[in-house]
Amino acid sequence: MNEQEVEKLLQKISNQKMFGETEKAIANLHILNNEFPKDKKYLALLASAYFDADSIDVAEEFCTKALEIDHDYPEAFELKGLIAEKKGDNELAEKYYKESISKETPFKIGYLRLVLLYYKLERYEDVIKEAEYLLANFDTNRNEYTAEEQRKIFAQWLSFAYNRLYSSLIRTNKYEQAAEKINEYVAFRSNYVKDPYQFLSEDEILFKLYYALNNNQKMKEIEEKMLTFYMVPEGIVASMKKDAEQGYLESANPDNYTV
Amino acid sequence: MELAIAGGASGIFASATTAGTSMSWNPIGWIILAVVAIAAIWYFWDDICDFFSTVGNAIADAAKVVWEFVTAPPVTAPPPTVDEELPKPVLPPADIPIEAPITVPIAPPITVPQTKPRTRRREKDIYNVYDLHVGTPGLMRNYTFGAGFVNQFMLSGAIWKYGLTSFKSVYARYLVIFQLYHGDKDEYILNSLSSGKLLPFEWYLQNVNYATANAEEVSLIDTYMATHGKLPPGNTFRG
Repeated sequence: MNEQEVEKLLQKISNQKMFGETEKAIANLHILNNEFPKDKKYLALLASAYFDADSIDVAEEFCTKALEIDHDYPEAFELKGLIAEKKGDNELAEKYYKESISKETPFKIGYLRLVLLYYKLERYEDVIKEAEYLLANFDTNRNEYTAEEQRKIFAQWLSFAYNRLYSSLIRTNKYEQAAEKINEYVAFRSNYVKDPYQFLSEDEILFKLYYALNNNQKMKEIEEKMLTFYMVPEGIVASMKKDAEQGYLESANPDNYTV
Repeated sequence: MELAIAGGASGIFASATTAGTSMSWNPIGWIILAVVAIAAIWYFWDDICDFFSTVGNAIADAAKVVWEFVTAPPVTAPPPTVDEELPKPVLPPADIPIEAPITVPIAPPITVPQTKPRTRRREKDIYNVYDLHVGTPGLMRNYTFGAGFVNQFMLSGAIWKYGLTSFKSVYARYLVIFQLYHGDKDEYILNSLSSGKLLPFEWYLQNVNYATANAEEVSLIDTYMATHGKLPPGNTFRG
């Protein structure tokens, strides 16, 4: 099998995985694995495919095989972490995720997995630490990326990192930092977003944060935007203020709204 | 020899010419000139015959060429060797008068709607039915087909959308589709999924063919419509 054939088969496998034909993807990955038994990439891909097919034990087996070839293979550790999480063993998952980021090669998805795990476990200080590291050290010149690349990183990790970060900052009462991160997130997305109404959710939280911070100037600016740009009824804006007074910054109190 | 004869003859003509001035105006002179002419004709008879033969042939050949040019049939090009493979010629429309007004259609021609070709994929048991429901209460987009959306306050757990997919996770579905098509709605859903404003329910049905999945989705939407009087906010059509 030459390089071109491998590339073609990989493309096929990618499509099969994407469109739910996991069994076919697994069969093709086995062909690749038989051809290149010492290639860790195909073992990890097999593990990932079996994970998608809910065959957790087989997935783990292939992860172990990949790690036998390369003891420092971050993707295999990440997969082991996902398997552990699926089995409900969060401690073990954390151990594997930490293992994945302890290698020489920087592995951003390992940090993201930790952010998501800590958020799930409500360990907000840890979320803040890992998310800030992630945002400060990976894709650092992201504002200069092409729109295509920006969309890609938004969907792959950036939206999760920012959402979990500002949410954790709010939950630890760091409102000013939260507002700062939301503004950063909106500024980044403004680079490629065509729909001007895409930021209502973020502006809603910002409005409540500025209200809670008594930052009248900023609050008025967003209130004006709510009424004239997003066309939010005045009654709902008044309800948002009540939410902010009651501590519903990320969410809303249904009692304040006429549904 | 011929030159000598020619020289000789020219000498005779010269002497006759020079002599002519004295002899040409009396009968004896005429007789002498006639004798000389007869002698010359007799002497050069073969040359004279050749001359008139050549001229006659040339005139005849030229006349023949002209005649053949006028009377020959027109020259035809050889037929192509692949003639039988050529499409049959289409007859022109019968008798279109040139002066007839040509009507220019103002409206664009009606195009036949392009339907997505049905493939065998739809027969495979790879489809799953899901919903997206509200995770945290707040303003959510309420879409209407062809009319954009309005923002509407929605409570936790309220159904926002039903859908079907062959992807193995709802997030993967929107992640891939957003990266392929950059749709505003897909981005909205993706951002809402990552912030927890929307949550997926996976699955109502799993690993079924398209028809079964579609029937389930339509049934869920119809049930919603029966109780709410409208489509779910995230659905713009039924099924």
